[in-house]
Amino acid sequence: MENNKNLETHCPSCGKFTGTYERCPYCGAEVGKRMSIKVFRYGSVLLAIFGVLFLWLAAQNKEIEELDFAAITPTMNFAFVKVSGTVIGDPRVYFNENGNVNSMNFTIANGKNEVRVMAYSAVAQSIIEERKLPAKGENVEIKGSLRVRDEGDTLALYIQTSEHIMIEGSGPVKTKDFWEITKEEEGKHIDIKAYIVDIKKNDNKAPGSIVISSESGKTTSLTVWNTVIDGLRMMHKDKLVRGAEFEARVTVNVYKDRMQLMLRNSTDLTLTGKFGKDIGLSTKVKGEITKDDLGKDVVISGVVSEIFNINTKNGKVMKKLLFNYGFGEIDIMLYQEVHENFKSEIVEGNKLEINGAVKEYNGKLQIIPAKTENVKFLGVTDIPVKEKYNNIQIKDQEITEEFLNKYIDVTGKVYSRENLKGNMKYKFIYGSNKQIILFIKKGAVNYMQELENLADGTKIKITGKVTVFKNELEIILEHSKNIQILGE
Amino acid sequence: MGELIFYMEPLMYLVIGTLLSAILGCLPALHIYNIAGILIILWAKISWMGGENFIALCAGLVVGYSIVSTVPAIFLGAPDEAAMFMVMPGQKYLMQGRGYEASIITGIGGLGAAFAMLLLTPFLPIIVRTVRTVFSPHMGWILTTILFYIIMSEFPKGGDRGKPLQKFLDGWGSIFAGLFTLFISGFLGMILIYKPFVNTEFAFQNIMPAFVGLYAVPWVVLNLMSRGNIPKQHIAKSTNLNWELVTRGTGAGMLGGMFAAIFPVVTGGIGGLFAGHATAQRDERLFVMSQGVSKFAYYVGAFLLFFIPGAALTRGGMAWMISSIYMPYGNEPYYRLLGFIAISAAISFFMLILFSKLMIKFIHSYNYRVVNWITLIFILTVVMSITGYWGLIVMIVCTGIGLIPVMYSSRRMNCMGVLLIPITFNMLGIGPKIAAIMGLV
Repeated sequence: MENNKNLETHCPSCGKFTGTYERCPYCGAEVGKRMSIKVFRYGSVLLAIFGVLFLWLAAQNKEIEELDFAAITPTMNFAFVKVSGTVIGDPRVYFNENGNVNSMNFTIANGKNEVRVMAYSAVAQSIIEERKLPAKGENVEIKGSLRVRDEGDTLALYIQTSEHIMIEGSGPVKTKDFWEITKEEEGKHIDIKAYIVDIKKNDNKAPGSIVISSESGKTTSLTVWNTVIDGLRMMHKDKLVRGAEFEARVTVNVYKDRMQLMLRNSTDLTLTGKFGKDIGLSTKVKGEITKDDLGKDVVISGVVSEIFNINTKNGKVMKKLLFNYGFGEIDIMLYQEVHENFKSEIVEGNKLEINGAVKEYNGKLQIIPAKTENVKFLGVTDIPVKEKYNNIQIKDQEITEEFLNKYIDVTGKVYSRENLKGNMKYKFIYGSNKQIILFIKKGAVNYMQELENLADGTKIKITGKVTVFKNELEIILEHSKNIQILGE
Repeated sequence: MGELIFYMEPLMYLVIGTLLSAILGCLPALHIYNIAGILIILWAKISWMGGENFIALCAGLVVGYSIVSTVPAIFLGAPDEAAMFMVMPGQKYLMQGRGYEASIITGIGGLGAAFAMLLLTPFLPIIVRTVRTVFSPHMGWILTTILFYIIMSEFPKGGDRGKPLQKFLDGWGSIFAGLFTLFISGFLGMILIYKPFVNTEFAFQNIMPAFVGLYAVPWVVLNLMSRGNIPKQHIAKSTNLNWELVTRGTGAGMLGGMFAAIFPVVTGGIGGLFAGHATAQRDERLFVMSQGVSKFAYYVGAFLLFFIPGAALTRGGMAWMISSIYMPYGNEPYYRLLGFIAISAAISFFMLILFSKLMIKFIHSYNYRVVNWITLIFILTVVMSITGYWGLIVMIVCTGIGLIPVMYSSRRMNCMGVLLIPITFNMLGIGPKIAAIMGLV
C-alpha cells in the first residue's frame, strides 16, 4: 500500500515528492498516474447498457437444447431444456379454495425415461385457459427448467410459460354443433357449446356422464371420469347448475362401436356465465329413479294406477298418485294448489307427464310437481287398470298369447345369458320344464348388476309383462324390484 | 457409543469444511458457494465421498464462511478517506484502528445467531410451516412491496456544493444510479431466467457468473483502485458490548436473517436493511453485531430450512445446489445438522480470532494488489472452467452493472434486481407476458 502511494506521488527516477505533477519538476522524468475514476464511472454504465443489449439479442436467438437423458447428472439441475415424449396418465389439476388453478402436472415418457412436468399458479392458469393441457397418449414437446433429484433418478420439468407446451399434431381445433359430430372424427378434439342438463357420477369404475342440451332441445351425454366431475365442481362450485351454458373441448372416442364425446379434463370446460331459458332443466327419465336422483328435477310419463286423498293439517286435500312410469312405480304428491287447477279430475288410468323434484319421505321416493303446468295430460290407457296391476300368478300353466300385455308373477331358472347392448336376455325355464325368453331391461340391470351375470340354473322369482317379439313370446322385466334371486 | 462412531466420519468432514472455508473466506470477494459448486461437480463426477459426509462438509463450509468472511469484509475492503462518511460502520472501525474489535463483534453476532437457532430448534418446524402456509399465497405482493421499499428507501446523498443544478445532480445522481442498477439488473435477470446461457451440464451454476460479476469482481476492482491506507490496528482484549446490546443485536439480526432465509430471493443484505429499519438501529456496535447475526441466520438458516422435517424448504444457494444429490428424511438429519452448526460455529469463532490477528500482522507486509489480482484470476478461472465463454461474458456484463453502485455511491443491494424483479414478476403472474414482450419465449 505504501509502495503504491510512493509510485504515484514520488518521482520514480529521483525519488523526490512530485505531488500531482505528471512530470517530475526536478529531473523531468514521467510520473505514472492512476487511471481517472471517470473512466470507470462512464465505462461501467456503457458496459452495462451495451452488454445487456448484446445478451438480450443473443438470448432472443438462442435455441433450447434437447435433453439428453443418457447424460443426466445432478449438476444439470436448473438446466433450461426441451423434452419430448408421450403423456402417460391423465394430467392432474389442483385448485385452491377460490376455484383458481393452483398447479397442474402430468408425466411424459421418452423411452424408459419419465419426466414429471409441472406448472404453478399463473402459468398453470394460462395453460388451462389456453386449453394447452395435453391429454393422455398425446405426444408433446415441453421446454422448461429441469429439476434433478435423487442423483438423477427423479426428473421434473417446470414450465415457465404456456408457450412452452407444444402438442404434436393437435392442429387447429374445430368448433362444431355437438349433434353434427360423427364417429369418423375419432381421435379429434372438437370445441362445442351447449347447456348443462345433468351431471351423473358413476359409483363403479365406469365413467360418469354430463347430459347436455342445445337451445333447440337436442341432447347427448359427455363421457366423463368421476375425478373430472370432482374437478368441475371444485372449479365452478355453485355455478355448475342445470341450464348453465358452457364451452368445452371434447375428444371423439369410439367405444364398442358407439361414439363417445369424452371430456378429458375439468379444465376443458368453461362456463360462459349465460343461462338457457327452460333448457333441459329436467331430465327425461330413461331408467329407474333411485336415491341418486334425489333433489333432481325429472320428467316422467306413465299411468296413474291408484289415487289416495290425504287431508293435511291445514285443512287442504293433497293427492297421492301411485304412478307407473315404465321402470317401476313411484308416488306423485300433488298439493291442492296443483291438482285443483288441473283442467279435469285426475283418475286411475290417466296417462300423464310429470315434471318435478325427486324427494324422499319415510324412506320412500316421491316426486312433487311445483305447479299445475308441470302435470300434463297425455291420454287414457287402454288397458284396464285393475287388470293390469292384478298380476297373474303362473304356476303350472303355460304362458301363452292369452297373457299378452299382462303382468305375471312366475318362478323359474335362467340359462344361456346374452348381453344385448346392456339389456340381458335369458332362457327362462318355469313350471314343469316350460320355456320362455326373459328380457331384462338395461335400467334394471344398471341398478342391480347381478342381473348381468346370473349363472345357469339360478332360481329367480319375477314380475313381468308378457309381450311378443319376432313372433316369440317373452317376459319383459323393467324394474329391479320385480326380481328376487332365490339362489342356484 | 456406536452412534458416536457413526458420526465420527461426518464430524471429520465438518471440521475440514470449516477450516477450508475459514482459509478461503479470508480471500476478498471469494464466495463459498463458488467453492461448493466446484466440490459438487467433483462429487457428481467421481462420487468421492458418501452423501452424509458431503453434507457435513457443506455444513462446515457454510457455517465457517458465514463467520470468517467478516475478516476480508472488514480488513480488505478499505475505502478511500473521501468515502469515510459513507462507509459501513465495520470499515469505520477499521479506519479507527479497531478492525479487530469489529471483527470480533461480528463473530459474537454469529455465535449469538447459533445460540438463537439452537433455542428455536423445537419451534422452528412449526414456525416455518406456519409462515409458509400463511405467506405462500401472498408472496407476489410481498416481494413487490420489498422492491418498492428498496426503491423508496434510497435517499439523496451529497448535494451541498456548487450551483443548484450541480447540487441536484450530485444529490440525485446516486438515486438515479441506484434505480438504473435495479432495473438493468432486473432486465438482465429476465434474460437469464428465461434463456440461461450456461451449458446444461453445469446448469446448477446458471446464476453464478451473474453474482460473481455483480458483487465479487467490482469488489476486487474497487480494491485494486483504492489507495486507502489501513491505519495501525489495535488488538483489544475486550469488546465495547454489554448484554443488552448482545440481546438486541441478536434479536434484530435474527429477524432480518430469518426473514431473508425464509423468503425467496430476499438476501441477508435486504433482510438486514429491513431489520435495521424495523428496529431503528442507531448504535454502530449494534449495527456491526446484527450484521454478523443476520449473515449467519441468512446463510446457515437457509441451509437449515432444507432439513426441517415436514417443511424441507429449499432456500439459499447451498440448499439449491445439494438438492439434486441429497434429500433429508425424518428428524435425524435436522438434529444432526443443528449439532454440526453448533460445533462448526465454535470452531469458526476461534478461526475468526486467529485470522483477524494474522490479518493485522501481515496486512502491512503483504502486497494488497497482488492478493487482489490472485483473487481476480482465481474467480475468472472458476467462472471460465464451469460456465465457459458465455458465463464469462455474462460475468463481464454484470461487472459493468455491479460497478455502477460502487462508482455512483448507491446501494449495491440494487444489483439483487437480477433475481428480485423476475421472481416478483413470476409470482405476480406477469413474468411470462413480459418475457414474451422481450422476445424470450
